[in-house]
Amino acid sequence: MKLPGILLLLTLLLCGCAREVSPVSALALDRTDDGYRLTAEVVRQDSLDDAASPAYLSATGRDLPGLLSNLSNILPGELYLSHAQVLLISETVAEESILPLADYLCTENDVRLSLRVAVVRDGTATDLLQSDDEVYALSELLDRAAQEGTLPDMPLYRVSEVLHADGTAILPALYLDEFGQTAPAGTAVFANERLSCFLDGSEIGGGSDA
Amino acid sequence: MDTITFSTDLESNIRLMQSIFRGDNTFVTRRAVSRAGLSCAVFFFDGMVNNIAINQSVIRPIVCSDLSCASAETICQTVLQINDSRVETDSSKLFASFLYGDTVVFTEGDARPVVVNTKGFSVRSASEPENERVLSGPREGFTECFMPNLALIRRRLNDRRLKFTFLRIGSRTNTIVCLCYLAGVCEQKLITHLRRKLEGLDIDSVLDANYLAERIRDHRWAPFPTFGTTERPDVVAARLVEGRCAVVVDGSPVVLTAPFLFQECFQSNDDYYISFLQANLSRLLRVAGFLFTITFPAVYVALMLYHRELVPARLLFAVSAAQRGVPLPIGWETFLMLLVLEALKEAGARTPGAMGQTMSIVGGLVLGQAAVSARFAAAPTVIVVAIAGVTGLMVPKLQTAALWLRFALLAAAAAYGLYGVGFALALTMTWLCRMHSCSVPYLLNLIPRVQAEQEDAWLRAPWFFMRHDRFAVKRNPSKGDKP
Amino acid sequence: MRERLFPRWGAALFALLPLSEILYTPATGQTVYAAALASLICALVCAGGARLAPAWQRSHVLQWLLALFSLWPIVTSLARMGLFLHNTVFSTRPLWSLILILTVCTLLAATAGLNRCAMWALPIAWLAGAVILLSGVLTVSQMQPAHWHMPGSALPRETGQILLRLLPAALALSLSLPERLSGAAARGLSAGGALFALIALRTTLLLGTHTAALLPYPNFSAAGLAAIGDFARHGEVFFAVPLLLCELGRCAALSCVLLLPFSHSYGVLRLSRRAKQ
Repeated sequence: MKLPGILLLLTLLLCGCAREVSPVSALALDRTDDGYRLTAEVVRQDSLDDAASPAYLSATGRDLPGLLSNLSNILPGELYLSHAQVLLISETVAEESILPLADYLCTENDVRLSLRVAVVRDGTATDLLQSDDEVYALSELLDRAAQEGTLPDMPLYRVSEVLHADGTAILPALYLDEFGQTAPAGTAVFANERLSCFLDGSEIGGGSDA
Repeated sequence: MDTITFSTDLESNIRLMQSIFRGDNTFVTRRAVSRAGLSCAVFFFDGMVNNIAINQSVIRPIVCSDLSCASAETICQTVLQINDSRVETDSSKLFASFLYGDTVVFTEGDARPVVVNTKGFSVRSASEPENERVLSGPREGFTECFMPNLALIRRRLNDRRLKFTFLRIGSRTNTIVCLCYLAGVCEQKLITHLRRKLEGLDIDSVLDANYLAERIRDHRWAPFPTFGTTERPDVVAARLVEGRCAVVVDGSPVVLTAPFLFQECFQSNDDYYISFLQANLSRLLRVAGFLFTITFPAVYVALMLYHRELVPARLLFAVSAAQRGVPLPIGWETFLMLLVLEALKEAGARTPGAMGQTMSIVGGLVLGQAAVSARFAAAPTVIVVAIAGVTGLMVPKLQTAALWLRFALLAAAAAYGLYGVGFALALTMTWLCRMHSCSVPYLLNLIPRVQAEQEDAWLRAPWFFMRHDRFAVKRNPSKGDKP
Repeated sequence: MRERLFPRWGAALFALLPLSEILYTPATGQTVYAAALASLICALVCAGGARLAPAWQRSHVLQWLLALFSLWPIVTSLARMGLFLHNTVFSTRPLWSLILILTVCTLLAATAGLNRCAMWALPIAWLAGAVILLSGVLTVSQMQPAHWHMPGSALPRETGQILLRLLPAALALSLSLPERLSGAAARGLSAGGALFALIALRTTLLLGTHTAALLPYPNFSAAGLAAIGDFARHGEVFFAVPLLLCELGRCAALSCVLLLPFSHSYGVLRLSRRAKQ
């Protein structure tokens, strides 16, 4: 009985502090003149009675590992990507090969394989990310659209697979409408791992009238 | 006790008895002389005897007798008008009976005393045990009085194979312990095993059944019970019918039953007295409640320390917000809150009546709320600990196991997350697999499943499916049953 | 008294062997076939091994050889479990400390003896099977039949790789069985192999071979896509814990084999003189 008791106490002593984390609910990636800008929607909730509210932090860098590292440097807690559900990429980013990006995210332990990737049409991904004050509004929009079939259902693992298979993929596209609200903008078509064109509803046969 | 020899001289016998019990003011000596001049001495302890029986069945017959001289046998057979009297030549048995409320009668000219059963001390009525209440079913419970307890068992089992074997244990208390079994139903090996263990005890006192249970049980350090305890005669009768043994201890309302299997921890008396549909749901809830009470605090700590990705996002944000400002790490916080819960339970149990309830309410509501407001503890932690505490009450037989496992799993979770919890549970399972109760595997019918005994293992079969000879422990699967 | 090892327990013990391979096996298009084929070959070999067991155990030299042979699967199992934990959750903990704690757990379980390990294996195998099936069911809607591959030229190589990991443990256990349990060994390995193949199929159909190739533990990662509503998303750990327990059971049983020449008892491991009485 002594031995289990000692073991129990020793194990208890190992109890560590829960590390302070900054949970990210969505990410936006834009191209800048000398690299990229990554904006994270960090969730803040100060007490049980408050509602979760987003805060936006941006970092610049030359590649995704560098961007994530720079972003974690300016966050109050550890960058926590496990609850990130959406990655927005701007048109300029999508026009480059997105395969390394997809591969890197797939191999990151923290990132969910079900992360949804969307292309932002006519504007920056950061602007679109910051347009909504509600946490997870974007992921709910994409989930609903995928279920209804109005936007492609392309989580990260599927994007990586199709890009590896033949370099072609389709991703949901979003844009900010005239009222400043996020709205579906058809489908972004990728060929040779790069954005090739956009298709709206009528072109893929699901729209009403052109 | 040393052997004491009596003489044929009544006066010297009276002096001897008075010298033995000098200083004991309850010791009573009554001389009785018959019409024809027969002198007798009657000894008893005040308060231990039935005075009416002594007056009417012992003293009056002697005084009214026409004998002038009589042997102990004659007194016993022709004078005393009582159902149970005998000539006792063994002084140790004589004093054992005398000290237990029997009356001793000496007669002039015979050195052998007559022992008359005149026990008559006050006893508690057979009320329903507080901790084994049932919604419907028999409401009688054992008392501290030995013989009425045996009568309660025999009243339920009118079978000539029901045996009560008496043993005396405890060099100071000389307590009567009774081994009950149904001959032919209970395995002889089990009876011999228990008898040998009980006879091998060299102890001073036995004041409760637990004095024996802790000494003769298998796996003395295990928090899981390997002896059943009950205060209900119907439960003992059911166990005896299933081929188990019962140990009744004088002075204790708690009766031990053996072997005790793990499945019995989740069984309740109500299971057999209410509809099987309701009983089985309750039983499943008890199993779930036990798993919940031991794992819930551990899983909470593991999730918040190592596996936050598993927690739904909004819930995680809320819990993290509640944790902000609490001084202790979540593992220690939960550990201390569990200790506080145990302290409150202990205080509630030790505080009399209504005050105990007040203690629980003050502790549970006021202290909990105050602790959260003062940021001593986070509200989710209080909720988790409270739920663990409430579900822990669902399986009273496993409260000790739940208490220790809760802490052990918490430690494992704090150190290794859900992996630690899984490993700790697996090692507990290994422990259970190794355990025996009186040489019967502890998990009999659960893992070493004997097909014929499945009617009352995880679930209780309806009575119309249950065979009447369901001897759950009669067969040991290690000897050839095909599971 | 020497206790009996029931066929059902034996089957469960052998079922743990293929199940404990699931976490570490890559998911190529051929893995489904390779897992099934390797388990089948193992089942046949072990059925033969179990028949030979009584004869094998009569020779002290062979028993010692078997004990030494069982060291290899034990060491590899502990190492890969430690690495898995290090790579997935406890990246800040030193690898040796993880292996140490796993070794302690293995030895604690092994002291119960081979019979009790087999008895313990029964609920663990059911648990692992249930979790695997549940995980599979929860991801059915996301699977893409287009990712299906027909058997190809890589099949023999992959089968060989799985056999290399599976066969030593299975053979060591089958040659140490106290009774003729060849049928149980074959049944257990086949059942475990079927679940192994099913989960490999799930991973392939879900992730596709290219994505799976990117991941160090594709079966584990694929399990993270099984969720009940918003609960247990990224819930790979629920999948991994029973499989690690399977591997712990495998290590414990092999440790019993390792200690068999010393123990003189299949029931409970006793190194003291009492065991010889």
